[in-house]
Amino acid sequence: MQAAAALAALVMALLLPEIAGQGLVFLAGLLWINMVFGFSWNLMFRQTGLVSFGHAAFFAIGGYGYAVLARAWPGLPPLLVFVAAGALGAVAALVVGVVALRRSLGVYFAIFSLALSQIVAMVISDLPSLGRDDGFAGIRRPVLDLGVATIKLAEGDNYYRFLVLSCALLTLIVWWVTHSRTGRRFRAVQQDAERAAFLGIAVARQRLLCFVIAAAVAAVAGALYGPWLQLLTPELAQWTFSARPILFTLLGGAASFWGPAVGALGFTVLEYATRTLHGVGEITVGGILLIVVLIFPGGIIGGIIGGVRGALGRARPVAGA
Amino acid sequence: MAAGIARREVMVSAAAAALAGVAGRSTGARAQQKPIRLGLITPLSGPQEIVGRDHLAGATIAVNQINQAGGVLGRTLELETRDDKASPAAGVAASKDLVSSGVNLLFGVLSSGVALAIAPTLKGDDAVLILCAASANELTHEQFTPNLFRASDEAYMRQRALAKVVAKDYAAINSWTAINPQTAIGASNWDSFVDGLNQFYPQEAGHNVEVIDALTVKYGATDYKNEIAQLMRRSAEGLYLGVYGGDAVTMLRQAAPYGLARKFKVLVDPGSEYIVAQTLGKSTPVGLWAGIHWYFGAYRGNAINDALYDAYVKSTGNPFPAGYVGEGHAGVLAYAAAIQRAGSTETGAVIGALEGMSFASCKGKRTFRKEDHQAICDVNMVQFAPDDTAAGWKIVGYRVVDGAESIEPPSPGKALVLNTKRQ
Amino acid sequence: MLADLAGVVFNGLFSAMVVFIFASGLTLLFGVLRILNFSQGGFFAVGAYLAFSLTRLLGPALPLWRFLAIAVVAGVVVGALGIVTERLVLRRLRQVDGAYSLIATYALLLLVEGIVKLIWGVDVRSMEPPAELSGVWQVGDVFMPTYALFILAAGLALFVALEWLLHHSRLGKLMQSVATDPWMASVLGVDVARMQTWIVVGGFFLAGIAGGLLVPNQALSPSLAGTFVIQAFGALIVGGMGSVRGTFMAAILLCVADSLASTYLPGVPGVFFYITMAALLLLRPQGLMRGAQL
Repeated sequence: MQAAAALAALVMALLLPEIAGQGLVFLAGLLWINMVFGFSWNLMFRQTGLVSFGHAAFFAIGGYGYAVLARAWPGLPPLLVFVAAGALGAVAALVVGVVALRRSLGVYFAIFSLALSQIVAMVISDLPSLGRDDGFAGIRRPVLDLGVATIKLAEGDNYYRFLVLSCALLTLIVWWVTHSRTGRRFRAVQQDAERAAFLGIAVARQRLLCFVIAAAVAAVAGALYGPWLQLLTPELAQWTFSARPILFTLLGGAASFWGPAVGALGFTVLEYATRTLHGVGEITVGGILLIVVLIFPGGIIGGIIGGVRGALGRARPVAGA
Repeated sequence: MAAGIARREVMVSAAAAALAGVAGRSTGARAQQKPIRLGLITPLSGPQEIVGRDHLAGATIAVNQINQAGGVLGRTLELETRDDKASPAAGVAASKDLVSSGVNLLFGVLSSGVALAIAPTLKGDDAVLILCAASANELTHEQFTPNLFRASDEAYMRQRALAKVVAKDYAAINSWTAINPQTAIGASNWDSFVDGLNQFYPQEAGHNVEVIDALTVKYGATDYKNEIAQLMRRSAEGLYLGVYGGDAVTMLRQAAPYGLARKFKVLVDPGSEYIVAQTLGKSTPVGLWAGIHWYFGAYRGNAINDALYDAYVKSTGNPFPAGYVGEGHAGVLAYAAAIQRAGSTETGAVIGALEGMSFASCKGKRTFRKEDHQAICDVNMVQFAPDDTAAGWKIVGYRVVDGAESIEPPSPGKALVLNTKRQ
Repeated sequence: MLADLAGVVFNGLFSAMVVFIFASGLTLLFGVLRILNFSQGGFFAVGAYLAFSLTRLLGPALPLWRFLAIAVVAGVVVGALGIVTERLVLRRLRQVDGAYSLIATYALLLLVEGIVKLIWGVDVRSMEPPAELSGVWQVGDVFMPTYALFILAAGLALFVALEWLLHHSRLGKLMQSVATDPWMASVLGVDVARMQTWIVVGGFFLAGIAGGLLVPNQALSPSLAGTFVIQAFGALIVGGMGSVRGTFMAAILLCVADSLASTYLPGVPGVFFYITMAALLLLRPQGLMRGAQL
């Protein structure tokens, strides 16, 4: 059922430009990227219990990595550059993980990762070659050479469709990792690290692997973001941007794989609906978020499941009577 | 009372007539035709909201004035406003949202980052954007696009105009230094100012000036005492206060016990307008100069200026409209004039009309250069001093520099080269 | 050069006390209730704006005692807001995962920021320190503004008071017991829920009073709420699990290192705060005060 729903969502996403205007299509593109960013964060959180406040650093590394490579070697096949951006994120995560993950966990790791991402943001805003805080401008949408055909992604809605398919692929990868044997090993680490170690699972190595995969996915999401906005700014590495996948995941429900998607969708709808409420935007968004969290402390998905169970639970005795 | 209202109405319509040049014509046709919608993109939440409100106030006044005078091409104007949150992604979302709801004539934008993000999307979306504040030089150079115009000051033009004024008025000064935010615009403002010092001191004062390396601080920093102590030890006589708005207030507040403002012979704030004086009140440094988009006091007698000023004071009660009010107003005026000239609201026709077009605004004539779409306009500066009134400050002087004297020759597509060499 | 060094260290210590005064309320909330309160900055801003308005209301003269009294009033009002917040928000989050308190307090921050903007507008505001604190002491080449000396003294006094309260008073022992094991504490007859409410009130009171004391230090604007949050989180965690002593030491280490680096090492201003933070977390992965209580 989940597969059918996901497939239906994919088809709808691909058909969106036929029915919606430019504005919605642009927001939808941001939404798919945000969803993947959220999935990658929740992969760490849900599977190994790792909390990162600096996930945006990998998103930014992927984005800027793609932009720099594409500018320096315009002849490289674009798909290779996207993969390279992901690899860059993975390598950065490997270095950070090897140094830090063994030593620091929980809230300490969260704040450690926050410090690192602030450093990345500050360094980017200091480098003239990366456009400083005005942003890295002039990122082109590439031409895909598939052997049998070439597709100009700059034309029409081509880049949007490429973005949808890439995000679907990344989601599939995260899904596969979550539900594979590796994913189950991650889960064991999250539930009881000591017992997992007793069962012969190399706890630290599992955490590191999960961290690296999540960073690579976030980096590719960042790489896809660059040509979509055609600009990258250092705010992408800042803690405010790191807060987004956390917000999406917790709003949607961390216990479910699809939580970040529901959260990102909810947040985007909220922002879109309040876009002409000038001056009271913060109050409306803050107030609604607060109410949702208080009503559904387990996230929207948790709330819906709980609500359905509750309704069934109440219904049963009535049926029995 | 009745006489007062009548007089105001006469003034408003006289001004609007001057703006759109359409008074009395075609008022009958307007009921049948759909209004012309203009899209204002500006920060309406977050730390920069204050500027967005000014943009909106100025634009709203302009739309009302023009509509009262009969509209443009017999159609009324209507404002569609979107919040860019001073964030590039939100800015692009706002511009695309406007385009997909049928608005192709956009204006506003404070942050250069937002302008750089929207610029490359304009051609594909068949829209025009008139910038009314974003000042980064590259927008009319490396990142030039035919669908982008700038009605307001460009960093190079404004900062060099400030340099020209200080070279003339403070000819005795031999050395300058600065405290700047660690931002792209902070660096490019200062480099443009130094470029101006290098040109205008020899021209106006007959000698070179020494430029002592600027100190840089984090944007939004909360403590400036180390930098203040360093500035106190410097031999420079002129201080360029690149830190902006609230940061400049924080810095000057912390600098008061050190006597920083007395140590330097002149302080120049490149763009905080009234913020520093309005906030510090009687602690305002004596003789502080500030760059401003539009100073109403410099244009008394100009019908557009006076009508805008009166309308703003009437609706807000604030006697000091920020320069951004004038820029929001000018954005609407530029479109009104261009649509009138083109006889159409189509993107291509409006671009054609804007190129090389001169139009009257609250700070006099502005002309969009055909080559790079930068407007040549006046650069305004005001000087403050503390005062015994309740507000605690007053304006003690102002300068108007013709932008043509400090602007570079157009070179769209090419980076601007600045002369920042040490003399 | 040496005098220069003394000045730089002095300025670093001043920043450290600013961060500590801001972070003290956060530490209390985190230490006892394990809530990382994002909205602390919002309530700090409420305290600052309240103090600004009260000062304006009471006329142009601002003697030192009135400045202090206004700060206390701001603290009390924000403390009262703490009761409301605890009832409406924080209490409901006790049964769910700690991570959810993060997004609830983040939402609260947005809400408070919006309300502050509705009440006080978006204009930049600023206030002078009282006349007694407007001067400067010059020792050799070192300038020490009297307001900075006052903040140093206030930070130190706050630290000593909290240390005494937590480690030497009966109330402190009760708080310690609630922090380590709420269930055990309740078995031993402590009214845990009431104690938790009072701790929230205390944390909010500290946010409000911090706002009142620090108004003259920087401009008031809608971005004030976000100004110290990240630095304070850093000091809190580097210090170790909400220990007041740890937060105090971490604030000093981080701010003095940043002050030294920003003066003597060319580079990106402000980045050394985070570099020091990351380095300290690698050296002492459980914080400076590993295993310490509050």
